[in-house]
Amino acid sequence: MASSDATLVERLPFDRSGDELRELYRRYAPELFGFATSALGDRELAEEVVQDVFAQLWRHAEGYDQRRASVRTWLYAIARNRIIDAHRRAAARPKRAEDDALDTAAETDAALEHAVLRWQVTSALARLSPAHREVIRLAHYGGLTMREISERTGVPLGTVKSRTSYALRHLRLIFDEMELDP
Amino acid sequence: MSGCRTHADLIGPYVLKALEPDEMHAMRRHLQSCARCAAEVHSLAAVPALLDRADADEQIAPLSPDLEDEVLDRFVRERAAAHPRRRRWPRLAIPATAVAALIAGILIAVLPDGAAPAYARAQLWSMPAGGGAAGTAAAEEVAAGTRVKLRANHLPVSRGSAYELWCVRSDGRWVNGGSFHARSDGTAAAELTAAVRPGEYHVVVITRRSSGGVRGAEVMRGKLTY
Repeated sequence: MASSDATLVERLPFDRSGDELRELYRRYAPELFGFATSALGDRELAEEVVQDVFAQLWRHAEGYDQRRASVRTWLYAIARNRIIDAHRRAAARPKRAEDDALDTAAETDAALEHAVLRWQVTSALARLSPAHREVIRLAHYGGLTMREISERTGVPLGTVKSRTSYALRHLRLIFDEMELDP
Repeated sequence: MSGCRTHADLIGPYVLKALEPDEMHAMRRHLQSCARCAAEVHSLAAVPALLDRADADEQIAPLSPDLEDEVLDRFVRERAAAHPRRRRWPRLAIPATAVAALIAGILIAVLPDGAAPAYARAQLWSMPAGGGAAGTAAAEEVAAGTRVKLRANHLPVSRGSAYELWCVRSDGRWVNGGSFHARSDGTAAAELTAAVRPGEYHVVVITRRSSGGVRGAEVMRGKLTY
């Protein structure tokens, strides 16, 4: 059975082989990278953020208390701080026109919260099966009814309805796992 | 909770407002008398608002596979620096120390550079950007992976003296062993740790230090002899 996130973090201080770190990396690096890319719009900076997040993780693993926050929440908090640092470094450079949107710390904060949420929802959608993702895309984003989706895709109407219900329930579970609230 | 037997499949479409008008109306009426479906609708009610936060076609940017190696390399290097190997010889009694010194003397005579026994060695040859550089690499297994003892000379230093060591794995992936500086006379001696195990790699490469995520030009390379 796979070890829990918290167990892996607890083992990190004694991790001589890198196995625990590698497992945590594989669980979280893709979505953290997506989040950082989404927030920074720069792939290279996003990779630096991911590296820094995992460096902080192993350096402070001994102080981790799972009663205070899940590993996911902790990692996102570290990533968020690193992204703010990256924004500050960018702000210290001569301004470009596109930086005007992030003039104040509060605006940066709000933009980051928005980016976190957007990214988490995007990654939740990516975890659905292609068939489930398609019905959500057509119904919610495309505004099509079940009958229209059935006509467009050739999938029986009853199947489209049950698929939509399953997809929504699955999404709810993923959002719960991500500790996401609207 | 997943709704009642007759209406469970309509809950998702209802929450997304994707039923026909008459079906929406019928479902609203059903919910007034079915606590099970009403609870299910309630539990899913927040999902559409969350979906509004994302774009339907936003793509997840693929993560470079090299980044995993870089993160693990950094971990191994920090661990190696934080937990250097303990030297146990001060605990030995004096006669034992004398014996050990004798053995060490024999080893120094037998092994190049007086190094601890290495599981593999490589002769490093200059690449086009190496300007005639040459060197040796001896790989020693440590808890964190492999410690590579590097000796080099004639390294070009006119365009900077920073270099990086790489272990090229059998699957083609390059594992970074860290960076080092050459002396002003083009010689270098460094001990670097990489997250690779014996048998996982067969080639050692020295490059100019990476810049902006781009690996530097190859300066030397050599094939390991196990």
